[in-house]
This record gives sequence, structure tokens and C-alpha cells, in this order.
Amino acid sequence: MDNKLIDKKIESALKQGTDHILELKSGLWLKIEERLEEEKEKETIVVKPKKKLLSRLVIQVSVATVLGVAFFGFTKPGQAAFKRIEQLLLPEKTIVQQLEGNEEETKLTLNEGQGQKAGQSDDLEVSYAIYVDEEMYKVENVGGKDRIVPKLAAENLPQVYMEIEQVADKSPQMLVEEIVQEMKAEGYQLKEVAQVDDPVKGTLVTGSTGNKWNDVVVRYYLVDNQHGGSFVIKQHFFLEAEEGHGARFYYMLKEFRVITKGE
Amino acid sequence: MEQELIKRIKLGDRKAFADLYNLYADYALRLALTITKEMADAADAVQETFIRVYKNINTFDLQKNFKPWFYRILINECNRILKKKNKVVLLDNYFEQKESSVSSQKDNYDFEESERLYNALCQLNEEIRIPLTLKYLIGFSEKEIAEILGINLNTLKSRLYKGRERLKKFLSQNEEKEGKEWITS
Repeated sequence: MDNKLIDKKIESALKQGTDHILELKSGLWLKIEERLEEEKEKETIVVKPKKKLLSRLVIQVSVATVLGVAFFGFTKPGQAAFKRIEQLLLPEKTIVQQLEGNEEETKLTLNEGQGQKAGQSDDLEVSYAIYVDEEMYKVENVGGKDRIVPKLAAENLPQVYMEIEQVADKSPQMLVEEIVQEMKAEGYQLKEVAQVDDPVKGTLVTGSTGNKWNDVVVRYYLVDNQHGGSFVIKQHFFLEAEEGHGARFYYMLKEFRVITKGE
Repeated sequence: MEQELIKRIKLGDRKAFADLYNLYADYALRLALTITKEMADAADAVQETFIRVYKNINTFDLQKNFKPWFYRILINECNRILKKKNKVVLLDNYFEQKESSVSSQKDNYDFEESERLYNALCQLNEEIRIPLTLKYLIGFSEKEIAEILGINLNTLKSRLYKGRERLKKFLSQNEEKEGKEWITS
């Protein structure tokens, strides 16, 4: 029997044999919509207590700072505050990551960044908290910036890291152009500048050096620190690592929180 | 067009997601059915796949081809459902099956050839059945199928060859039998 004829027969058998399932198509869409609505509601429910937690956190941090000064004159306010934060933000949490289509349960550990004075105020300090997958990554300080790097770095491959830096005196809007120019000067092709809500609310600037497997991809997320400054979160990896490290950085960044102490 | 839709979905546009569903649902349902062999399981797998796509669209790189990413999620989802139900993978060789199965095929001779061929295909081992479906139903290139399934191109070629040869044999045997029956009737 002619191969072309067999190919045609297989194709038509597959279509004919599966035609009947198409009757489920519209009903299934309704179910999907319903599920997405449910998920959205769940998210709203989760967000509410988180907001409360943050305001509680700020209030307790203030109390802790005052108490620290009043009763333990030598206690550094920052240290007392951080202890409170640690108590309020769980030290560890388990998340489910979608990596290349598969689910992976991962334990993340709380890490807090170095605080900086907020704007002109001497009383307020802004820092951040992030949960890090410490089984795979470690946090280093490189040139005053916190850098999350893989524990096992492959040789002869572009660097992989997620870097967090706070710029106290520039808003995300002020930084976008600077970053775009810097990327161009470094040889990156600019891919996208967009406002995003996920994994963090802010401005996303992406670029890459090309489309080969080992070409470098950079993603900047610019997050407002609510006091006239920004957090610049830079993800740096290579194209082939997009669905591995790229996805893991995405899930860690979902747990990023801006923290104001002393309000 | 597809990239444009994905960009819009990334920005939270639900209408764009509905358009993507309309674009992909038919083939997704057909493929899921050939893998899971049951309508309810296939529908569950497709539903989960679209929800995962929506929730994880921000991890998808717009420079890449969406189709392989989508079908990889779908196939994983089908396998997850099958694993959960603890389904045993069917025999590798349709022609090495038990006599009972062959006789039940005989009872089906009044069915159309196409239906018989589909049933034969469904009884092939999934290692062969899934690549055949991706090639003949969805029209993926061999390179794309190898990428989706995470297997070597030569391994894939050999599976496709095996599958086609088995179906070819099935068709010739079928024709022979039909011919004999027609002569004797």
C-alpha cells in the first residue's frame, strides 16, 4: 500500500475517531471560566489577610523600635524590628512551582534585604523580604547588591542570578530610560517594556543578546518602594535556562514584599 | 497573531484567553482523547492545561514557539491523570495481543475502515501512539515532536516508522480479510 495513502488514512482515522469529543468544547470553556473565577476569589481572600499582616507588622515594628530604645538603650532598633518581622513573616513556606509543565513542591526560606532611609525621613526605613529556594540558591552580596545565585553554577555558561538593589532617590519611571540605555550600551536587544502585575507590580524591561540557546536574557522589574525610590530586580540567565532558572526566579519573586519600618 | 494573543493574556486580557481557547481546544481535546482514551479524562486534562497556561503565562518567553510549550503541558497533564488512575499501558504490539482482543476486532468488521484503524491506533503503545497523533493529527514536524516529548530525533523517527508499519500491516490484513469475506459471501 502506498505510503501517502496510509498517511492520509491515519490522519482521517484520527480525526474521525476523535470528532465526538468536540461536543464538549463549549461546556468545557464554561468550566474553565468558572475555575478561573474561583481562583481569582481565592487570591482575593489570600491577599486580604496579607494586607492586614503587613499593617500589623508595621505597627508592631514601630512599637518594637520604641520599646527597643526605651528599655534596652543599646538595642539597635533595626535588629529589634527585624526580629519582629521574622516573627510575623513565616520563616519558611512551601510553594508549588510549575517547571516545564511539571509541578514541583519547593521549600522557600525568608531573607531580608538591607534597609535604607526612606526619602527625607530619618525615622522610616525601607527594606524588602523575599523567600529563597535555599536548596538550589544562595544569597551573596556583590557590590552592595543582594544577588541570588545557583549553588551549582555550570562552567562556560553565562551567569545566572537574580539581583536586588534599592535606589532610594529614583522612581521606577525615572529609572526606565536609564536601564534601557544601559542595556543598549551593553549590546542587548530591547524586547519589551511593560507594566505588569505579576510576579510583582511594577515596570518590566526585558532584553536579550539573541536567540541562540546560550544567548543572555535580562529582565528588570522596577518596583516602587512607596517613598520616592525603587527596587531594581534584575534577572540574568541564558535562553536555555528560561524554563528552569527563569521560572524559579519568577516563583521566588512572587514572594517579594516591600517593608517599611517605623511608620 | 498567536504571539499577539499571548502578549494580551500576559496583561490579563480574558478575551484574548478565550480566543486562544478557541484556537487550541479542538486539537487539544482530540489529542487528550487519543492519550487517555476516555472523554471525561480528556476533558479534565484539557481543562487543567488551559488553567495552567493562564496561571503560568508569565513564565512563557514570547521569543519561543507557544505550540510545543502548550502541548508539552497537555501531555504531562494527561499522563498525570493516567498515573492517578493507575492505568496500565497497553501492549506494545497490536498484533501480539491476546486472541480475545483479536476476536473482538473481528466482531467489528461492519465498522468503517477508518474507525477500525483508529481503534488499532488506540491500542498501540503510548510511546508510538502519541508521536503518531502529534504528527498526523496536529501536523507537527519530527523535530518539534522530539522537542515536545524530550526524546532524540532518531528515536522518534524509529517510533514513527514502527507505528506506521504496524498500521500499514493492519490495513493490509484488513483488506485481505474483507476481500475473502466478499468472495465467500
